[in-house]
Amino acid sequence: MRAGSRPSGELLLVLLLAGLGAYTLATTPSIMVPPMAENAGPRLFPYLIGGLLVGVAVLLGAQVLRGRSAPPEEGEDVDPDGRTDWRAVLLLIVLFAAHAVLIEPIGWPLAAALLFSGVAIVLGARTWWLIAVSALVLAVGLWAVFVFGLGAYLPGGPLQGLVHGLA
Amino acid sequence: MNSFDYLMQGFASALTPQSLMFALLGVLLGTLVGVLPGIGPAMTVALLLPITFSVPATSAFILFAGVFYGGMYGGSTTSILLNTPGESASIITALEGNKMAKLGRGAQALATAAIGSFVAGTIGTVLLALLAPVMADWAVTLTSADYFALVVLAFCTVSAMLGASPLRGVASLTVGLALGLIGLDSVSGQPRFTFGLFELANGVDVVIAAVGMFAVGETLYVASRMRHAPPKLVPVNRTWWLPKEDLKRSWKPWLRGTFIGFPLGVMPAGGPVVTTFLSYAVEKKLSKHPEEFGKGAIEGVAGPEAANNAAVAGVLVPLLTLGLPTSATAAIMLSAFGSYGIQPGPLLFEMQPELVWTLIASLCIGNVMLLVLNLPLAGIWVKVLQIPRPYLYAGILVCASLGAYASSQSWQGLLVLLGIGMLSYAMRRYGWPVVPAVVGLILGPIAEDNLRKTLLVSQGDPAALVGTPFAQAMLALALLAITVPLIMKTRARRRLPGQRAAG
Repeated sequence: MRAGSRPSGELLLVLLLAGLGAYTLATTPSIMVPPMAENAGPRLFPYLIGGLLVGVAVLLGAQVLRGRSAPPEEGEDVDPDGRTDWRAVLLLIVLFAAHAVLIEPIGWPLAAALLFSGVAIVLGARTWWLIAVSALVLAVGLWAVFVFGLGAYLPGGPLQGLVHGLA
Repeated sequence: MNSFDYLMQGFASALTPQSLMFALLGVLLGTLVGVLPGIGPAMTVALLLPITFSVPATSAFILFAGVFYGGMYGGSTTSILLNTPGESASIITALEGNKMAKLGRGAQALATAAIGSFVAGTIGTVLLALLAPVMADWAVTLTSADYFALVVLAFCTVSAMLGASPLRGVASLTVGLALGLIGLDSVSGQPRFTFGLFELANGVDVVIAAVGMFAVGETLYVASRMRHAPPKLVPVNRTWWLPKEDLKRSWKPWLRGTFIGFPLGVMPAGGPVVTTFLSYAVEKKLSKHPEEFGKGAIEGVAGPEAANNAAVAGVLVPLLTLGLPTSATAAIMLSAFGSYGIQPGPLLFEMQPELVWTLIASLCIGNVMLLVLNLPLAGIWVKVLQIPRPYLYAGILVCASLGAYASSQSWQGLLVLLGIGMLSYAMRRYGWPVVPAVVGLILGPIAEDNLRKTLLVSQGDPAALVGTPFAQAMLALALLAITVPLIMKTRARRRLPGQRAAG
């Protein structure tokens, strides 16, 4: 590690990996084994994966502690030198969780329109009428295509009543 | 009836209005998502998986394969005009293609990419039709030890050959394998890691995992460090065909790219991405104008673009004949077979000849459609590239919710989706590739099944895993796939002692 530099946040991810491995190894003995399957029972593969998880976590942990990191993923909309905008990430997570909770009470189309508008505003869109129009058109359009065109089930909320009223 | 009769029948059913409509929809959607950043063919097929509940199998696979082919065409447009790939198999195209565009030869670059993709896609599809039945006959003789070795090879190539750090690829793979353990054990029926939840008995939903890893993770990652300047597009003229001089320089790279891409697509060697690197290296070596490379050599666009399309056709060979996906998109298509109760593998050509041959015929037709769509319509795809990013990513999240809700039918499913998206964000932030996780989730249970079958037959003797020459060869290749990148990395590090290498 370079002198004075903070330990990389990647260590948290590595710890998560090790924790997942430890959990897998610890709970595998509680999987019931039917009497006929002692050779290759349901515990074999979990043991292998658990061991692999712990092994990879140890190796990777050593790399991270020695300060070797991989370049973060590139993308055309990603500014590699930019600082992490935690506010945007958190807001997006909150918006998506709220959207999930709202689907059943207010229907997918409205919940999706709210999600779209919220995300667009957080990411920097400012033209109010354009946000509202695209949110409604996209949400209602996708809902109609999937429900009527492809026979999928998505709760319609108030729209459901409207469609049934017309039909 | 021989393959040719079957193929003719396939064309007959591929030319029905319904099949044509699904093929057109597939290639349009595929090109669109190939052009757009943040959303690729794998994620699109994942989003479309819920249609398998309501659409016949043949139509669904025509649609999915169209998306897969179309994604490769669309990715090149973004690479050439924007200098950043819309799709990972187009990274190489950006090297020369964008330089050509800056020299005012963008139209030629787009044309050589589109025609090369067409040539390679068509030859690749013909090779698929010729090779797949032969391969299926041979695959009947494979034992479960052979299958296990094949899956291990796929694991090694997918995790070690992509991305900057092989170890991080393996880490991502193990995350997927661990998620794949959740659910009822397929052999004994025992619940494993279900936390007593009934909803987890069927395991982690592939749609939720794939959409979370790709779409939600990507959106969170882009949001965390968004480039606020508008994308710099290079303007291009409209084109209909290549000038003679460029055609002369392009046709050999097209053919070479095809014959590099197809075999590598067939083998579990990392899918289309790896083939583009190889094709580029070959063209650079063989070119009469090596000095132009890095400054806009047309061969550097023609070869890799042909290679990635031929590889897509190649990837379909092991998918259909072995049930073994070698790329993320193919892995998700495999789970679509599952939802129809169809088992891809050696018997598919006997049990479902109509499905297979209609699919192959549709691929030929889809290729023609793509050529027509891409040459004159490049201008429209350029417009698509200019969608303001806040709207684009808002739309991607809405689509993610749509796919996840349609497949899980519960709002809790969306919270799982969000959780996987957050994990994917963290992985991207630290340079862990996400594709191995998706492949591990889907192929993990297949690996386990074959491992246990082998050991049951051998009564627990692990030597059975290397009992056949084929299994030995595959495992040896797997070992190479892991060690070669590591050795190359160490050598590169030694050569540049001053630089902190990424491990």
